[in-house]
Amino acid sequence: MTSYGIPHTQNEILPSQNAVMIFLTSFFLKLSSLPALIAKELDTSAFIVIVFFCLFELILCAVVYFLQLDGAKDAIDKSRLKYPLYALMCLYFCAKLFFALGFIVNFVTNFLFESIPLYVVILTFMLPVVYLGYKGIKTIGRTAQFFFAVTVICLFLLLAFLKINLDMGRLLPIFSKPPQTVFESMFGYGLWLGDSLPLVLCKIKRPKKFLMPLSCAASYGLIVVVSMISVAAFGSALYINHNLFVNLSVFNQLSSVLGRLQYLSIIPWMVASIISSSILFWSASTCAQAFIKNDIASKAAVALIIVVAFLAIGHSDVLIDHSVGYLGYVMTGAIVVIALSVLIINAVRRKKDAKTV
Amino acid sequence: MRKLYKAKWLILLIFICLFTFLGRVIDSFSVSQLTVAVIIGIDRNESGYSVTAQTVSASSQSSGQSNVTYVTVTSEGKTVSDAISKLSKKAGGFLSLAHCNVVVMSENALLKNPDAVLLSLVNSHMLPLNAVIISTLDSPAETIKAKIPTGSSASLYLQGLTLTEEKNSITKNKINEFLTDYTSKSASSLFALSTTEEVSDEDIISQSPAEGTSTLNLDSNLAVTADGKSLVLDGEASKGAILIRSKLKYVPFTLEFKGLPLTYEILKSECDLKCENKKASAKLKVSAAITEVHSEKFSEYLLDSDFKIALKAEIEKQLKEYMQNAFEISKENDVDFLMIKNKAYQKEGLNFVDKNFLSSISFSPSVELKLEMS
Repeated sequence: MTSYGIPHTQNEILPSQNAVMIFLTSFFLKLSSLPALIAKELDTSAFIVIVFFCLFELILCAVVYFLQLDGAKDAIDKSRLKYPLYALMCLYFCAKLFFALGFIVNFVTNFLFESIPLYVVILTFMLPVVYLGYKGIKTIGRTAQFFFAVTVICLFLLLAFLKINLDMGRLLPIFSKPPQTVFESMFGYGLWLGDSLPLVLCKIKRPKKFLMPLSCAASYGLIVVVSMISVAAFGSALYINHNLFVNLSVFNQLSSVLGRLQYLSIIPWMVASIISSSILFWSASTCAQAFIKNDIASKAAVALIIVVAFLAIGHSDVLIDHSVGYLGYVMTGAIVVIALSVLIINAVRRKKDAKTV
Repeated sequence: MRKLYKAKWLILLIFICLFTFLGRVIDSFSVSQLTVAVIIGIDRNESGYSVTAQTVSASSQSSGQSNVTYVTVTSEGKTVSDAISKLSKKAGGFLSLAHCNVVVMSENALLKNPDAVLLSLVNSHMLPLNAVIISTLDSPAETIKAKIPTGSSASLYLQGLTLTEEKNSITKNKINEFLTDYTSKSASSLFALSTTEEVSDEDIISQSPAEGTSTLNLDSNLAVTADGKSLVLDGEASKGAILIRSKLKYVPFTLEFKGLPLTYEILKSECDLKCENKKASAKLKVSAAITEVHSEKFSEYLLDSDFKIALKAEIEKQLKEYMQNAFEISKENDVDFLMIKNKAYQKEGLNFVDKNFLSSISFSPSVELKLEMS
């Protein structure tokens, strides 16, 4: 049992669930607004930035997986840095959820339902997110597994029937801005990094040897391939795609007969957005439990803070304008600090355990 | 366990009630409130924009047959969105561009901020990114209102040529491709140019004869640059452009060979355009077959290897001339519709120098022809 009366096994997930959750989170975050935002500033260098981001995520996945196998959450609970680390993690996950919500609301109000009131979108979206978060990471993992097949089928149909004029020459030049500018600017998009970080609070049961490396490589490989196709299709005009994954579905071989078939991409993307947001909500509320001992109270507090803050701002465009730049650098720094802190805490715990033995 | 079972159904019931309530507060248009436009035309004048839309409505008759009616409406406004909202009032329902696959734009509209206009239609009015843009020197309204002799509307006629039929040499510039070319270093784009050709009433035999019919010719092209230049390429000049820019399938060409008019068909072609160190090259790989030659000894000629070699050389020469001619027109008018500047930028990156680019480079086309059996 943890110090909050919750059994350890509640945070245990299967390796397949872990892999599916990382896949859905990565696809939701990196194939929607990110390529267009980067292209606005860095033109065709957006591709190399996405490749670098995928490499960063692969390293982070490896670190998080190692910590999951070791049960790093227990180490954090027993550490002296518990409160500051949980405070930082809670802030990070809340901020990420807040901005993810902003992008989802922006998509729904600008693309799907133009005249819809903001509170309708927030309430409709937050209900399944809070419910899944309340049920726990095991439920989120099982739900993700359930919808994984639908997502993969839609992705396959989208790519298999894609009909668009591709010119691989549009990927060049790799550095359309000076390399230093590209390198300095890329961390301004740190909000889109850290897909697997929320899962550091889980433990993996019955780990399988090659499943995680293969699945992470496949997930991020797919993101690189779709980004490559996008740059080859749109070139310098990549900035027009506010939701790249949804826009790509317009270009299919059956569009002249059946129309745009955008529901092939809207449905998996919305499902992935709910799963990813649930994971962030669960992580934020789990960290908040270090301060608010009651499980339901911590979840209610996080949900209320997010919803009230969002309704107070009132407009998702404000969030999108501020999502790149200083916030990105802060978020990138937070990822590095959290990952390193947990690694150090875990290493200290392992050393103590080795001495005890 | 029983309590948990009851709680699950209670939660589901709460969700159903909530979503039913939330669904009623969405004020979106139903299908009956929408007017579907199948083609849209945009013209620009001194006072603003003139937008023409051809809407479609289908009704079923008592005999069970459906009757499709095309209605063309035009409105003016300071902006395109302003014109469209006035159009919606005229048409009697919110104008939906979600099924609009062809956009006809006048030369004037293409010369001033066409990217901003089209992007606003894509973002605010659901215009598909894969809609084809056709240009016209006249008013787009005239193109859209054209009565086609076969009984179809101009919209269906243009959709047929640009969206479904691949075996022609018409430039099919979609909105996403236009934006890609327009924002590239070449900053130019090539559009099929529509010209109206009247059909004599005597040439039409029909149970319900229509007067004043015309066809739309799309053999010419219009090149437009971001800095406000436009250039008309006639049928002959367009051939070089399409050989370099497009992959052709089953497109006929005609030449005179040893005094005989001869038509050959390009079965497929692909051009590899490169530009490095101020030297541009266009390597065209093409397979072609003879379709018609005016000689009684045609079959003898096909078996004669000397004839084939000579013919191959003549076809290669003609194709090279088309490509060279296209480059000369591009250089003379400083309109980079062949996208050579963009190729140079892709190769040179940050070292690329834009100034007087076309006049400072040389261009050498080459053709690799495979003559198939006719």
